[in-house]
Amino acid sequence: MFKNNLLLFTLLFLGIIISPVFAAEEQVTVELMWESGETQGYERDVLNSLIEDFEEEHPGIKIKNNPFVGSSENYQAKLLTRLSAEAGPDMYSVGDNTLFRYAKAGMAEPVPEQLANSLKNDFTETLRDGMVSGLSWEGQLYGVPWNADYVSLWYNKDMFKEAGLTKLPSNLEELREYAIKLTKRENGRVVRSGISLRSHTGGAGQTDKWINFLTAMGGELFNKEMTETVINNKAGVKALEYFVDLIYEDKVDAVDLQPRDSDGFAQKKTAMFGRGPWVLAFLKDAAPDLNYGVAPFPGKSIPFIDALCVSDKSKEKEAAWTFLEWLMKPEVFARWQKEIGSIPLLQSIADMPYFQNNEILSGFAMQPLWDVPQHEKLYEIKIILGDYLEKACYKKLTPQEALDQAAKEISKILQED
Amino acid sequence: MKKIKLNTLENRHKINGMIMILPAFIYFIVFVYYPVAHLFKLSFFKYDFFKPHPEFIGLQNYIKLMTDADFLNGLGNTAYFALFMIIFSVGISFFLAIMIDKSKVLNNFYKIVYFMPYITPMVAVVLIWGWLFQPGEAGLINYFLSFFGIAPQSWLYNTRLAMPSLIVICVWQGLGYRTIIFIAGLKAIPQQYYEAAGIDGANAWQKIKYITFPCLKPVFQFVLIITTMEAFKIFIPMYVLTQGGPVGTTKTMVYNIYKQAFQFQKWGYAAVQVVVLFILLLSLALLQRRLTK
Repeated sequence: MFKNNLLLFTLLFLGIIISPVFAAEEQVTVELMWESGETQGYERDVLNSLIEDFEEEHPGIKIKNNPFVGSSENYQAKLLTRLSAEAGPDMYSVGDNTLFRYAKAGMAEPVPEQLANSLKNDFTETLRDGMVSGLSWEGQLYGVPWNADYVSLWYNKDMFKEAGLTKLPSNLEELREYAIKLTKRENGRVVRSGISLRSHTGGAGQTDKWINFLTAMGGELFNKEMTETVINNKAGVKALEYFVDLIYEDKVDAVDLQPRDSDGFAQKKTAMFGRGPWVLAFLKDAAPDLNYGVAPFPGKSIPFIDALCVSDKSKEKEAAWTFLEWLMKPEVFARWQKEIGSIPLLQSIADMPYFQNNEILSGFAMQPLWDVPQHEKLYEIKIILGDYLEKACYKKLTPQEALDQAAKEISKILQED
Repeated sequence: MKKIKLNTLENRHKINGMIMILPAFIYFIVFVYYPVAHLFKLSFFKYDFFKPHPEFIGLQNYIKLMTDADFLNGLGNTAYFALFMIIFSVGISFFLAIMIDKSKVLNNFYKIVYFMPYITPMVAVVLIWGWLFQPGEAGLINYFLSFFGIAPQSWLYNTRLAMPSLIVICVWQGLGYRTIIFIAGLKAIPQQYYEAAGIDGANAWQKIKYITFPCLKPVFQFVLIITTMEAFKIFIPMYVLTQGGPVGTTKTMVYNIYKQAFQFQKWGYAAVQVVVLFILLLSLALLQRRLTK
């Protein structure tokens, strides 16, 4: 009796010890590290709900959701540190059209052919070139689309009506005329800007918002060979003069006017501004009763394509691709895009009634986009140019001086390579 | 070879002492000395995380630094910030320490009140001040100034006002800590000195000049060194409130290091700037020690 009990107890004990080992062998865990921005906790919740559904359908795969809250620079530093120490996540997000650098450095795995072909055939018309450039390296796709952002013109419909404006501005001259009509002043001070301009803080952000003005004037950042910058040519100077004149001649905005940008728009302190689709989710919370629309911003906007990719050092590549393939199913990815208020990235999603009938997202679909060159120093160049644009906006330099000095520095960087 | 005798009391004390300091020694080697040595090494390389092997470039980073307008601007801004931060921090906290030390009522209350900002996280402090410094009439400071007929100022967007505004924030935040150190120093001065000076007819200023200042010399030295270190390492207010702007007027040395390392991925070039900052701080600390000896 004692022997039987001992045997039973031993078997039970061994069963308890061994069972998780077998279970663990059956289930693999793959980590997804991604940049969730400074405050956007709701994105994490949306992804968690998708992961729950995936795990239910694929009991052998567990996804470890690892969102990174913080700035892009800190995210990149942490990700690169992990990847170069070969302790990286299995899957990770890459922002700002920088995926090609990861692919070039051998840190990302090419997308399996079947998935790559199906995605390439399904990229939305507006974003096709941007996505191919943003997700590829030497003709091969290295990531699946995750998010996209670019500037379009947000405008307050009630203010347009009040100013007697019945159609949308289609070029820079009309934009100036509209901005003048929409500006409100008290004792000579601007209290409502006709258009909120990115006139200070410098950096890449200021360049990103100025590209529309540059391209609308027929200017460009580089020559075709990418060997030199052409920002200080006639078109570039004209674009910056126009921009500075909006502040000091037309006085449609003031450098120190607060709140500005999306906050100013939500608080009816600005009639127009240029920003990406994320504003939609922001306004839902901040100004649910605001009557607004989105139209193409004159010139071309820079498309920012965020990607999800699989690390070449991942030990669970197959499971990782299974998850990404599942995520790219139109009915699944549409859930993500709808919840976070994204521009549809796949045509099969853009054709869905929700996106077809969404006036705001349709406004974005008409925006002409700039061809982003795959250049390792593009971000650095944008920061340098942005700092000089700020100097012109503060009248520390004339537009010609600012662009000449910026061109000199940018040329040095281009020659370094 | 000479053998160490373990049985003598002195040697046993030595060995015990060594064992005791071993963990701290290992900690310093791994987390302080090695990274510092590695940093010096890195300053001779071109390195970013996308390239697996750093490229040795000799003194190129150092040569480039000498003509880098951004670096020189950062150096100038840091010196400007440090100078006024040191003058106001040390001056005001010393004055407050004397006031609190002399005060018979609510002595501890004042100590707590002044110390509170120091234990509040810097980011929170900076965000609150950012709100106070808002331009237009929305900002609380502008609102108060309007009672005196002063027009609203763009504190953080004006090229002349941005840096002084940040100095105000930092002086205010560290005031309590420095005040407490001064109070501790004042408490250590024997009261008999003041009583004797009083009998000899010394007035309040003479007592401060001939008793307080000389007795507080080591305390001044300590406060000056820590304030200088803090001032030269300043980063958070610039990062959170002004991003180095407007027009680079609040770009400091550490902000430039951050920019080179994290935004441009130029780790070697960032390392050179850290080396320069390290040498600068070390020289200043040695100079201060010499001057206050």
